[in-house]
Amino acid sequence: MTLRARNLAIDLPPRRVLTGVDLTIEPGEMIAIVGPNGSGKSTLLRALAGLLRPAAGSITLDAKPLHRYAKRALARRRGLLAQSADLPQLTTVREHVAMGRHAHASALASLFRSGDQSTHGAAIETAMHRCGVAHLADRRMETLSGGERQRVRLATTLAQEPAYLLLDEPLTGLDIEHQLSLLDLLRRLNTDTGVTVVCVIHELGLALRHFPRILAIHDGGIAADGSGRDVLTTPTLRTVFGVDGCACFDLPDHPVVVCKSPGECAAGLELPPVITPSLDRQPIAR
Amino acid sequence: MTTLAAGQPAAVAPATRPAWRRYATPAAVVLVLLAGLALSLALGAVRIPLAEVFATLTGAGEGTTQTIIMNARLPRALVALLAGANLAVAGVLLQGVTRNPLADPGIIGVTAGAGISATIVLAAFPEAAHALPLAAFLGAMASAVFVYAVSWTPGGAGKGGTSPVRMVLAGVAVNAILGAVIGVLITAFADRIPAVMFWTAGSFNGRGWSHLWMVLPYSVVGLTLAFFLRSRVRILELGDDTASTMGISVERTRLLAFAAAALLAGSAASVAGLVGFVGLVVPHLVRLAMGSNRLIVPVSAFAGGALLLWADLAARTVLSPSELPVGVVTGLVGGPYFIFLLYKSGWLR
Repeated sequence: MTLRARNLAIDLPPRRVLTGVDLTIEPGEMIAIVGPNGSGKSTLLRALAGLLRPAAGSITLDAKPLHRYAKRALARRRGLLAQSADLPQLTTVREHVAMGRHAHASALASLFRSGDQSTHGAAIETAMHRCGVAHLADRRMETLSGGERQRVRLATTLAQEPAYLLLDEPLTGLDIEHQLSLLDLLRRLNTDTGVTVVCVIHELGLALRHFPRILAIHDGGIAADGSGRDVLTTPTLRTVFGVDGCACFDLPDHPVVVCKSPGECAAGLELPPVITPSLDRQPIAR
Repeated sequence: MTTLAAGQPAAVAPATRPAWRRYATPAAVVLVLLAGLALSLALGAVRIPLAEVFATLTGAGEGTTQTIIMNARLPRALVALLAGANLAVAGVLLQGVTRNPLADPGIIGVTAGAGISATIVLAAFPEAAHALPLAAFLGAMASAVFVYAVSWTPGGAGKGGTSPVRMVLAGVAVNAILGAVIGVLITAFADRIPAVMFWTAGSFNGRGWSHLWMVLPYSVVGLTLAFFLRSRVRILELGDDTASTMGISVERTRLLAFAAAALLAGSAASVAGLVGFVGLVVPHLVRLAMGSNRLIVPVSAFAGGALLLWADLAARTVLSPSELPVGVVTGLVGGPYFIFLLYKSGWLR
């Protein structure tokens, strides 16, 4: 499942939001998309999801343009955790996750399936277990905390059994502990199941720590693409984000941090609070 | 974990109910409907014993009794039943598609469209009263098509489409325009106000087999569509992007659900007049009683049918020999009951 954008341009009238994007995403990669607000991150993600039709260029999955895939066929290959969190009425966690199976139900069966009981029990249970929400299966969505809801929404996307998983700012509204545990969960999914993960994220420190490859988007194009060391350089931080800063990789006992000025971390003073996710700990405490 | 559970028992209690509870509500609704049907055939100006009602229905009836039941009460009851089912299921579809719990058939202009063409017939062409159901139905459809067209925008990179918000806003605008025109019409034809008002409040007075045959095909089409669309409409509640990436054709689903709701509500209005409340409240009543969205389409259909059966029974018996508009009954009885249910479920506390 190689996802490839060639000279991609996307129009959202009245303006052209993306231009000349060239991008190849190999199976099993874990990629963060970073960039300032309005730079085109979400648009790129939605285009990669096949939701937007290219104004120029192409997006292909295994050499076949995305828009040539049948909707349901594409739904079995890619999942999107969208930014908006619409909460369906009176829905239990299991019913919510079961909705992800829509594309796997045969056309006839899906007509008669009421979304809650289905022949896809195993896939639903697996998805809930992977995301640590199995114990919430019979709870209603509106009784869950924000962090739990986000895990359920991720489980719903996983129930599609996608080969690549797109996430649009999945950390929004989560506290730091839930942010870290969600990123750990993504990393484990990536390692255990080989799912390709492409994630729009604002926290540069978290992007550096959790994603081997980072795409920096600026003014509708890719400003830098590569490992954290290659991408989050002082010049890139300045042109892309308009801040003077540096990413520090070599501080002993510290995770990667992004400082305000190049001198700051060298001096070892006034570092932002060190964020140490305990990776060995079960991320789903409750 | 145990301490947390002990601290928040209400939140941790599972939302699902024992199996028998899941089927208790549907069973009760069906029983209420059957009881309403039996009483609708038995009660009226002439009281007919239930034994004779059953005899008539099984083909062993005779004389006046048979005429009353087969020519008046049975078709009237069936029209009320279908109209109620149609309005309730239209409400379920529209509340899902517009993601708006306040949605009812009025919100897509169907009600106002039926109202204006009925007003035109009643006020300006009273001699054409036999064409009233057809005119109301056509008006409802025209209005629904107009609302859908207004809410459509051609897209850029995404394909063109509607949105729940635009649908609701277009419906509000169309309702305002048509309401104003109705106001002009009844001012110009002031002597026809009572007829218009009575039709507007809804009634099954004098409805017979011809009305049933008029509403039946649209009910069959609309209810079948609703049954097949229900899981897709629920996935639409997750948002357009999410539903689309799950394999749902968002615009097609929305159009079909909209069309089904328009057929259901328009055909109901054509034979019942403008009966409010049913489409808005029955889906909520069913959800409150069931505690989930399972079986929402079939149970709402039965509940809506039962509600209008009982409402019509009350409308024609309580002040007999004069007859109340059925919409008055649904509002007077259903409204307080709805408040009671909301209070009981904690929504109003």
